[in-house]
Amino acid sequence: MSERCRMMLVGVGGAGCQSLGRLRRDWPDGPDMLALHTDPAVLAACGLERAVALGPVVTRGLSSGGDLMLGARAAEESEDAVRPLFAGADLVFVVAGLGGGTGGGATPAVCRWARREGAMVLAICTLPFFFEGTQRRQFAEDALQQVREAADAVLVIPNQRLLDRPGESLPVLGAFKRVDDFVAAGIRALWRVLSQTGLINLDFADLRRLVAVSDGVLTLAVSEGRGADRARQALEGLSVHPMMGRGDVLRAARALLVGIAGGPDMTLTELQDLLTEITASARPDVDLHIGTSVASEYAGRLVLTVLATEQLAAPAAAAPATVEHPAVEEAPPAAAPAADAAESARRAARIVQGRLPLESSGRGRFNNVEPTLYDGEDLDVPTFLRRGIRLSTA
Amino acid sequence: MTGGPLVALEIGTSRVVALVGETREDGALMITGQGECVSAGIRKGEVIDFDHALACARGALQAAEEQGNLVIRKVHLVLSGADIASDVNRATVHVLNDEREIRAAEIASVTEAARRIPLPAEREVLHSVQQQFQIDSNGGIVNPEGMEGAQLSLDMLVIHGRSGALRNAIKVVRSVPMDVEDVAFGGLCSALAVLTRDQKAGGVLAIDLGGGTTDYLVYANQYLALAGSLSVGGDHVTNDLALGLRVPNAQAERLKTQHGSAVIAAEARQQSVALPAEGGFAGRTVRLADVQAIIHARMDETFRMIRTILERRDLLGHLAAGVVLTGGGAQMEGILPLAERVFNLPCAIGRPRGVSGLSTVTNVPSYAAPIGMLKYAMQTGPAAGAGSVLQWFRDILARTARGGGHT
Repeated sequence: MSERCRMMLVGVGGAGCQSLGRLRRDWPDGPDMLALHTDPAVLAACGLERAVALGPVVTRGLSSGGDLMLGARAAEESEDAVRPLFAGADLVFVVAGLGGGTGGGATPAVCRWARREGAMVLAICTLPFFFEGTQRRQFAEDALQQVREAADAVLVIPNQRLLDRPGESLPVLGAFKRVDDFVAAGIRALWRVLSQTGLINLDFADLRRLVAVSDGVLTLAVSEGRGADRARQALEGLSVHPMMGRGDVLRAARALLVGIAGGPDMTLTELQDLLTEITASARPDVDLHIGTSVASEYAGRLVLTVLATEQLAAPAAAAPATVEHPAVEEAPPAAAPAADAAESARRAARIVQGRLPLESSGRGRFNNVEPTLYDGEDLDVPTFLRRGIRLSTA
Repeated sequence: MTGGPLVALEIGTSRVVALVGETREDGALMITGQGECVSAGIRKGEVIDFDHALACARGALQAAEEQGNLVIRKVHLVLSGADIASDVNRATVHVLNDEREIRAAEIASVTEAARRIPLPAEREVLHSVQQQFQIDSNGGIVNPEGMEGAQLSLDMLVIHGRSGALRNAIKVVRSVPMDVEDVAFGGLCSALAVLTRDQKAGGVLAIDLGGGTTDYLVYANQYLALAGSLSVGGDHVTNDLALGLRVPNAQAERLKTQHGSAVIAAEARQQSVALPAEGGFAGRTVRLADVQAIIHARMDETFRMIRTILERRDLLGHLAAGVVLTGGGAQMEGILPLAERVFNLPCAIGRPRGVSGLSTVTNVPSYAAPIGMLKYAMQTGPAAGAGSVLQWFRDILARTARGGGHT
């Protein structure tokens, strides 16, 4: 991929830097990584090769202390130092935890800079656990609205979803580690899907296309199977995956990017079974992008990576079938900066209208009561969300 | 008038209502007092905050006492939520006497057996209602006494719910302090209040659209065929609007009652509603089409769930008298056309029948359940229909009394 598409990873704020630090330790030959934070101590600790302290003047070298405004001002101060670092990148992953002051406050600005430098920006944002308190969650939701307007697409990871395993009691540190692991594994899987050449290739163009038909919100799931039964295991792992909402996400997605990685022993029947199953559980008119790669390191294993558009949003189209993807979106961003700016303005315009009901408050006043389950559906979650009904905002 | 005024109490999700009713000379029910309190501590028909619920129950009862000018000592309690559901239990006995004639003894023993339905430990019986007798292979028998046969069977519809939720409601009333004279399922009460004899005979589905729950009841083949409660109600509609449109709950509630519709009107596409600023809310304009789309999705889903439940029990083809909607949700604009579309049956709004007195109570569908409770109490007499839930409380009381406790 390095010839076709230059990729870069940016961690913003404490959670983002920490996730990337962990990723770098496990993946020394991975793509370029950059750490951005208001707190120099955290930057030093994360051990990334490139790190820039944000807003040394406004924060006086301290952290943003959970203050979104301070985080945003710190970013503003450091624009000239950071923005040139994105030059030449085609795809930038901005990783941040949105509950913090820097993660929530600076991430929208970082996304904007990278876009203006011509990169496609995928923000990978975690939302705080319930135990982190209402205020932090509210901050994160506000920040997410802004990130969504600034980035091409947001991959939302509500941390709470990673905890929802019945009968489990996880220590707090374990919970945060699980988030880091999930983010790290997700980034690696995505990178692998987009960069490795295989039997059927998936690339940057496919991702662009996915972003184009999405409302700007994506969901990622990675699932693995081993041994003779690996295809079925991988599928089952997908169906119970915490990010897939009991398969609802798959059912409602308008576009799917599916990467299948296996060893030289992967059979055609396995591939066929996987594709039949996935097609059967998706919408009939789904925009499906499939890639398959074979590498000897996957011998005896099968890894399924699914990136799905999530329909929590409410953009222009009143009729669910109309999909907007004007020609400007197909144009490479670097080649047409004017078109990109126009597209960016258009996106911003349509997004201001539709407000995004978020997973972390998907149950509203029923948040703390026993869910009403009926045929496997949580009836406390608004019906229009579960049915994937798009609200009109024209 | 026998036995003095009766009081029905409904601890609902949006309101706690106490109604005082008396039997007139002609035997009809007259509502003479009403007390109401906006609910707190109740979700989906169940008590989640005992102290708040208790304060509301006290407030409603006190208001009813003042308006009805009486002292309330005991109430008939309407129960809902608690995953109330029903099952048909069939019992069979052999007719052993030489004439093979069915006598009171056989009927008593088959009734006793039919009541005994195996239930999971956390559930208990609220009502058991006789459906039909069968002698050998002839079904549809209403009164088998004096008939002959080798085997007598009885189908009993047993209505049951989650013990914890049912008991909590009773505990609230007991803590007022107040006696619970009897309890009944809200869906059964509403049906009693609004359905005519002809509708019951023809086969009818009654749906009570409450704040926290949606109760349903089916009469088919001349008997009570199905009863249940879904823990989804008007509260969910409000919550859907609040989340979908990002407005505070109070604004969402106002949108629902003033601009809500269960069907999406063509002209709504061009209309919008301005919400004034209030508290921390900056004020917004929302599109009417969105409001209606959100409500439509929820109501459509609720009706379809009930439809599926009826289909599974093969009851949909037995509803000649159609569907009757009652409860606060029945006042929603467009609810009838939606129900007609989903059930493909004639649908009507049910208002309490054969009741006089306070017209603000008797002329709207919202009070069907407490009015029906009063009717039920009049029909059954003192505590005739007490289910095992109430028995549980009586047992506790008896024990405390024996132990020299304070009662």
